[in-house]
Amino acid sequence: MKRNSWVSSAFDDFDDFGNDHVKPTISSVKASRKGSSSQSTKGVLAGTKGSLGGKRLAKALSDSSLWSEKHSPKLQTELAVHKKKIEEVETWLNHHLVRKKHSQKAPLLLLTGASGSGKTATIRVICKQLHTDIQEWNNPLPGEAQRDEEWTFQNYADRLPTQSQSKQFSDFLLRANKYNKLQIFNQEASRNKIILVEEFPNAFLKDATLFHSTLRSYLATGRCPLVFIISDSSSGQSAERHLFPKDIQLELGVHSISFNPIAPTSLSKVLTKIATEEHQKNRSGISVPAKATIESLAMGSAGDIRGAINSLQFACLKDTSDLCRKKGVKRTNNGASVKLKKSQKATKNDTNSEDMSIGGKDASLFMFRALGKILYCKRCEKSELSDDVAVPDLPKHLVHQYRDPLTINPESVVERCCLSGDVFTAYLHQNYPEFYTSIDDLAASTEYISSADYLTNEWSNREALREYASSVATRGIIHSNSSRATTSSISNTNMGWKPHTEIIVLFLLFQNREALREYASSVATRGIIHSNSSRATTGSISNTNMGWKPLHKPQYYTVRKKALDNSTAAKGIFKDLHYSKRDLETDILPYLAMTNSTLRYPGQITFLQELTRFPKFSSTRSEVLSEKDIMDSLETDSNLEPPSTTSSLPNATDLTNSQQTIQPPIEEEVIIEDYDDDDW
Amino acid sequence: MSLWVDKYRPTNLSKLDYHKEQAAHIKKLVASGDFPHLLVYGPSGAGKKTRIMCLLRELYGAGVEKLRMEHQSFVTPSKKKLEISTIASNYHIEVNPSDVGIQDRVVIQEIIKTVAQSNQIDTSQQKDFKVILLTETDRLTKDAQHALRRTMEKYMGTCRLILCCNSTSKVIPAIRSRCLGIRVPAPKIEEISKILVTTCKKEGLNLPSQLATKIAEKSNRNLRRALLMCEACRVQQYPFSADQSVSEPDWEVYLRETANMIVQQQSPQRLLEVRQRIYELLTHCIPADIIMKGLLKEVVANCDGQLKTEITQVAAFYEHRLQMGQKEIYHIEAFVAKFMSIYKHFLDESMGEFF
Repeated sequence: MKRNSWVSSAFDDFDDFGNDHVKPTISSVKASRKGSSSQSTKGVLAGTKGSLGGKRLAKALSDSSLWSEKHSPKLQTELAVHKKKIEEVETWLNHHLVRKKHSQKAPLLLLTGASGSGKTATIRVICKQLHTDIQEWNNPLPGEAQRDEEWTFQNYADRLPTQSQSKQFSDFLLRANKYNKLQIFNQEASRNKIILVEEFPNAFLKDATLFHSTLRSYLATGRCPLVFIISDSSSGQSAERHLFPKDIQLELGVHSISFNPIAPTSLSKVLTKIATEEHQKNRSGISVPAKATIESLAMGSAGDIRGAINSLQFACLKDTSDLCRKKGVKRTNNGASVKLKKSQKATKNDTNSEDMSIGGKDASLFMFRALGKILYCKRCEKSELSDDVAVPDLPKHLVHQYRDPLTINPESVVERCCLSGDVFTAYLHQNYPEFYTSIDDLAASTEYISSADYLTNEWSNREALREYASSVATRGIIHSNSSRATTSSISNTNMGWKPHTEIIVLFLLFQNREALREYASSVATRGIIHSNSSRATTGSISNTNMGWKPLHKPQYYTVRKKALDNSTAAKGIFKDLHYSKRDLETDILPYLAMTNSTLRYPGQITFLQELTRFPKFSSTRSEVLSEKDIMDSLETDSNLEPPSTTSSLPNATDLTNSQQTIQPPIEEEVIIEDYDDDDW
Repeated sequence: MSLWVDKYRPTNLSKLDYHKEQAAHIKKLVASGDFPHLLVYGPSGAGKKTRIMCLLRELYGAGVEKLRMEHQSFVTPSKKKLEISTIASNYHIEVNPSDVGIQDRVVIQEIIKTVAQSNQIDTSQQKDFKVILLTETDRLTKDAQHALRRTMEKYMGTCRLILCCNSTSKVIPAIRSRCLGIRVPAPKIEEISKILVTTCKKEGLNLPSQLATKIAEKSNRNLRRALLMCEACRVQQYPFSADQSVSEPDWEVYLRETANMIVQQQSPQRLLEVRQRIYELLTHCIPADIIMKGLLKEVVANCDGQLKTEITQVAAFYEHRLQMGQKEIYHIEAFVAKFMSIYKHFLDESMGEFF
């Protein structure tokens, strides 16, 4: 059978190997090949998605290869991932590799997490340790295959007819499950094996049910553990939600482990190690960057180890040392004697606000995290702030407005969140009351939200003002929560940032949009933060046990849509009554429902009942917000359609959907907690 | 069977039941055969539309009563299609431009242009102008009002405008000064009860005068509502009894309950419940400013002197915000929260004095 050209490009030394139309890349083979080649050191594990052939990679490794590939971890101790996560994966693999003969169902594992959080590296390292082979699925390239077919008619009889990707995938699963890999390299035959799927055939993304049925059939026949890896994306459309909805996970017994972004400390440890190694090996070409630079790299990468190593490689090139921000370097030098943690804190605000021009990650935030950051506003103690920020004491009448400095920058939170300002404000508005204990704070907070809305009243400058409005709202919510205003140990008084609505209005009068832009954005966010007096001190934050609170979708859009529908319906159905909309809806229709005047159409009666009757006790709660809804809200953003009301996630409060409530929504909890104890 | 409100609507200036002096003035105005642009304003249910229709009849004769519904569509400069329904006779056309929201400017310009550019065919027998009746003028955007100002002057020769609105405060001064203002005040309670009795007599019913007064009082001097209430009472119980309860629309009851909830307890949790109820009202197409007004009216009843002014000021502030802003709920909620805060302080203080 003839070899396909696209296979040969990657496997030019495995001539007998490419006898299949669907060619799973057998990466473990690759790895061992390379291990036996002249390159003595590093494995190929971490970041590569198996796109380079072994030979070529080996050649390239010495000089220009990416450090993220070169320095990928070989041992479990080298992994920067949290130990518990590694253990979790290891136990799972161990358990299922040992027990696989007895168990009926093939085990499925799903790894999720931000990109560069070491999912693939962990799997590979552990598999190596357990002497387990990995068979990996790569999407075939349909373009090339088709072109081939078109031009080489004479070979047509030789080849298999083209198959759909999904068919190819299920064939791959079948083969990989049945046959062990060829005994070319004299390895012991009876090694264990897992199947790794990082790429999903596109057809599955369109039609997840197809995927599910493939999985079901695999479950029936399969023996090896099947591992799926899905990277989260901050911009919604998470494949995880789509491909592995909760009910399917339950049905198929999928074990899911989610990886957190890598902690900055272990990240900088790894970076330092790599930099020193490189320096020792290649003295002339590479200079070890300063500690501060490495730290700022670790910060800037937002937990993405692959990106961090890549930017480290770039930073270590000779002429690029000036790329690192001067400010950050200076700061940490000042505080060199201070503990590492403190200096981190000092630079934190800077790192959030001014991202590195090069090497910084697109640090967009999950909507969840962004909401959490505003609502559980975290404050640092005054003493932790470096001394060069001199803040005057507050006059007596303003002391109650005192707020400890924030550890976050509300504007950048809004900016990094994937929602537009006013939608974000709507989300905040839906959720903030539960975070307040005092009604006074709440009143202050609502005023800020109202101001934020007021700012965008003129459509002519709405675009420009939107940002500020959201800022008014967010800061307002943070500021108003007085129970969260200060840290417990107040050494100095620091007036956070006090929003001033009057000034905004003044600015509006002057139509000074440019000046206003900077200003108003701050008002909303900071106002919200400031108003929250119960969050005023970090001490009181820890005291007031906020616990976990479910977040909700803003109802406003649904309500408005419904109102609009009702009103058009009213106008359409009762168009023979010549009244203006307002009179019709408030006067005529309610009484029409009470009188017995004969209505012309049967539809009128039911509509009247619906429109004019109110529930005696309304207990409808809004939907619990789930990660999946980010996509919906993005749509909302673009065309102002209400978010779709169907949620495939289980929500704790909604008991109508009994099937979905089997499993409590733990992952939401995790995300909020993440925020509270993460350090970057 | 149509509602009493429609059935017994007077069609002639001389048949109007109240403000007869004003009716006489209008009659004189029309008698000359021509009149300036008019701006008719007054509270809802005072009979503005009725009066305007009477005026038109006086002007053109019975022909104006042959009404037809028309659907007109316009295309905005941004190629968006707008649909609006108009009610027209041979002599006049009635439009509510605020139906199309922020695109009302296009509607105003197009409608006036098409009407004004087609001259009356036979000017010897007919008036040489048509009348354009614009309702809810106070809901027009500023843009539309400015457009209106220009078109008003331009087509003075071929058409007259009658603007109808609740309050002139939202009409720009430029328009106000171009129109002759006619204020139609709400009828007095006695007038309403008299009308109710006569209407019932026409229906062949006997309405006790106590009940008529009761309904009139309950209706807030809104004649339309009074008639509707009366009809609802008739459905509820006939023959009428003097102490019969006058039914109110559900939403008013609901709104009052909501206000009571605010007064009863002031906490973030309660605010959430209140928000839920406000959402409920909004879904039932109750305008936000009516909600605001209703809430204020109820909660202010629970306050005393000094507090009353304070609360009202707060309400006025947020009412303005409500008019200017886009998301009504923010402002209503801000008002509710503010009231809760003030009221709680007030309660705490008075409790302190008590002990």
